[in-house]
Amino acid sequence: MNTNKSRKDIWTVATFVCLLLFFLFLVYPVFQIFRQSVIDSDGAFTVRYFLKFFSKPYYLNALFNSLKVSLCATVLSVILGTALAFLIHSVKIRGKGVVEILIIITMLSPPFIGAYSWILLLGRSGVITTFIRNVFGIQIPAIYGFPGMLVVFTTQMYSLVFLYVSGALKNLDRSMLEASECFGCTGLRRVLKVVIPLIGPTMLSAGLLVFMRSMADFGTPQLIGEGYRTMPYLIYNEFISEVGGNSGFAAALSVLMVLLTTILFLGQKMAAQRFSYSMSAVNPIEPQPLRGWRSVLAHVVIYVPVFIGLLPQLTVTYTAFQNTNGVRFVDGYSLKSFASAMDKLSSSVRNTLAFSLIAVLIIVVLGTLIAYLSVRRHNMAVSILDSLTMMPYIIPGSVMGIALLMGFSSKPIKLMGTAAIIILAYVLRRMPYTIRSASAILMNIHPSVEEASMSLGASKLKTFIKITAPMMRGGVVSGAILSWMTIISELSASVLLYVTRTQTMTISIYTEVIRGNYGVAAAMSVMLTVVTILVLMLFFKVSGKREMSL
Amino acid sequence: MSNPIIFQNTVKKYGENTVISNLSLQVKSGEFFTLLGPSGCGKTTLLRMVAGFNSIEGGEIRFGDKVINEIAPEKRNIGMVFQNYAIFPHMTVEDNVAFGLKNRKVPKDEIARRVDEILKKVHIDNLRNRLPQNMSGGQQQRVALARAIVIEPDVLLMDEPLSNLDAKLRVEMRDAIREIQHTVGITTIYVTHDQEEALAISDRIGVMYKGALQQVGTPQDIYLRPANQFVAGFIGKSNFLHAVGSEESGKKILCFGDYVVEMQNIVDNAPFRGKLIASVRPEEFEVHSAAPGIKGVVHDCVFLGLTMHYFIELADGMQVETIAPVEIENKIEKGATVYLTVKPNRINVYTEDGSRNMVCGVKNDEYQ
Repeated sequence: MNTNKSRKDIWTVATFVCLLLFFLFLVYPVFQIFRQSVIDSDGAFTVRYFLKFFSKPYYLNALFNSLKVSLCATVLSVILGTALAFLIHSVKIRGKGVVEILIIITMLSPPFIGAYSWILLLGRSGVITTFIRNVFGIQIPAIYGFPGMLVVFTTQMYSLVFLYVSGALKNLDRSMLEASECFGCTGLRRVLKVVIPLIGPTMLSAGLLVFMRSMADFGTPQLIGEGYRTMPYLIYNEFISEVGGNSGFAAALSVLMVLLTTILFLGQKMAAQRFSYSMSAVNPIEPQPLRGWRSVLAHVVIYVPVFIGLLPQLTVTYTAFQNTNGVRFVDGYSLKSFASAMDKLSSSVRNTLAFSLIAVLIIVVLGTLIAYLSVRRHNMAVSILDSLTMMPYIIPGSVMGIALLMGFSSKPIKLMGTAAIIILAYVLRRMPYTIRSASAILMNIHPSVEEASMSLGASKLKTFIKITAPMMRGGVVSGAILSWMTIISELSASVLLYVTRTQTMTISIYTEVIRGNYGVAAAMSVMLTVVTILVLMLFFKVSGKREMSL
Repeated sequence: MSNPIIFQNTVKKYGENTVISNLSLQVKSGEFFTLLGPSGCGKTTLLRMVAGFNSIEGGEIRFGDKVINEIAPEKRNIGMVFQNYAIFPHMTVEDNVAFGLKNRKVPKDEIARRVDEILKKVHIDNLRNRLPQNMSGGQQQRVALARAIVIEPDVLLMDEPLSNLDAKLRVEMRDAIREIQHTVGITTIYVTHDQEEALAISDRIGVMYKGALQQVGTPQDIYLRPANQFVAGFIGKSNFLHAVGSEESGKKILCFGDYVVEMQNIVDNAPFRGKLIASVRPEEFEVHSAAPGIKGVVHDCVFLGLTMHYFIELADGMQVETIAPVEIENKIEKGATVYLTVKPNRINVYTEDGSRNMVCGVKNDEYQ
């Protein structure tokens, strides 16, 4: 609606301040990665690193592995997530509310915790493996490598698809289904001909998100991969083992990752633009009660995957109370693991809380401003800012970590080893949630409210502070909580950025798992989960609904 | 005393696209002026230029002697009522109304007094501590009005303020707005696409079409003597009939085929010859069962209690509508052949392209 001549005002200033921050803290470090990937240790231009990558099957294999496991995980997650979402919206299911919350909890725990509890269950000396060996005398194949990663990704990320598709189904009007019924199109045919095309774009974007996350996940291959090398694994190890020396190869790997994700992201955007319909339901689909075996089947189809998805959490909770002797679990239950976890955690809990809260504060201020600019202002600078805020979607966490290290390890801005660099990573990676939530609410606020304020003599700044910001509050707060929740479980970037002093909860858990202190790690994970659930409940309370979308 | 609003050769452009070109108009001090036109005619654009939410690409707009082209909206001292009311949802009624006064740094006790006064004037003083969320459309509308008036603005701007209300409330609020505007006497520009609303509420109306003012005048002027065919068609119902004009021994004669009337009120130097368009409102016809008259067949009749509407198909296939008071006898049946005569002093005659009304008494106060 803004048709003013491009007068210089407070928003022009805000635009340029935001742009400056993004250029300094995002574009510059990412540019550093690109630069380092083509610069020799003597500072000369080289394509050596890229040649090295493409000439050795060892490296190409990692790329292939990444693509393979991500693609398989995406397909399985989309099928499973869509099926569950469709079922829960069209059939009456007992305990629907609980199921939905359990699915959200599944989504919120960091994947590497899933990975390590699957090891506890199905690893070489896992509970289930041992049980089957002792009772049936059969040695089932261990879970390490490709199948393990597939299990971890699918059981966790179907929940993302579930949430996305649920959101789309809520906007699908009943009349769509009724209309197709009138024309004699029912049952599975109706799902294929009407429902899938309508929610297709949503499935596509959810699928992309799953693919990106699987591609970018670093913890899972590190723990359960065992020789099944993927790109993030490679990047991390090349970078860590070459510290001080030449990080050019890790940079080249990162560049390849980013190029790949960018292509996918753009492809998805184009597809979504072409095939998406704007829908809003006056009468959403009403779940229908089923009878007899059909009802039982529907319940089984929903309960079983949700239970399997929750198994890691249950395992972790169980083992947290088990007694341990060194790295081995022994008989008996106690709170000893919690005691030693508390010992080790005290500073990392404090760090997690402090870093995450500071990050959230920054996110709230910047996110609200950026959301306002991108919804209400339309000019070149804002479009650039808009695309910059999307960048974290396509930059995997470990790449972001390396970028920040490369950008800020020496003067003029030296942040390496400080809390600031971790907070920076948090802000960059998790701000999009707040921006999206804040923009969504702002789109529902008619600009005339702001015009009314100005016509009554309030300046632009005053209008924003007194009128617009308070009206956006709901969206900003729920977005901020979402950012906070995902900050708490962030690992892939912070694991590269931390030093002993700045260790956070997820990093402590990760290092305990790596050391084999499963008991302590489990106790820590339980505490992390409890914190996350508390934040989630806060989110539900603030947003006033029992659902969420990312 | 409130200020007049003067538009002088005002231009609005979006990029290379000129939406309003060279519009001139004077809204008199204290007047209730309505911009009326179909959607997309530029009336809201013009209003938002006065408010400062749209830039002005050429000419100027003045409040009295003060040119406001470059003044920021918050400095123009305007009161604006929006189509969707734009009530601040997080503030009580009282805070909404006091908002403008606080921005003007009015002393606290005076704010309290003025808010109190205005809330009584618009009859919502019982709602002062309520949040707007659960208030009806009419109540929100009153809050919006109170909020706009309380700051004693130089001009009051209203952008289709009644279009979101139901029919009954619309009439009620229409009368309330008119009454309040008259008591406070603020120069007001009111935008609407509803011609009946415009006729009922305005001191004067400016009919807009394609970014230009077609006619400016009082409701009577505009209804009785529309300046051109567009105005005639847009305000009220008009039947446009093909006719031929000629002059015989100093008399101006209008021929509808066989039916001929003498026109005594044609402007002297008007091009009253050849093909013309006669504009006849339904109430300007008389229906007879015998010639003379324009011959036609009753296609349909609609009984509305007070009046009877006949839809009559003429010999050339054209359909016209007439209105007659209901009578017990002489009821005309569907399918009957009838003869229509016109009231020559009431009808309007346009040039063939519809751009000019040739009848005397057309008033168009466009400001130069």
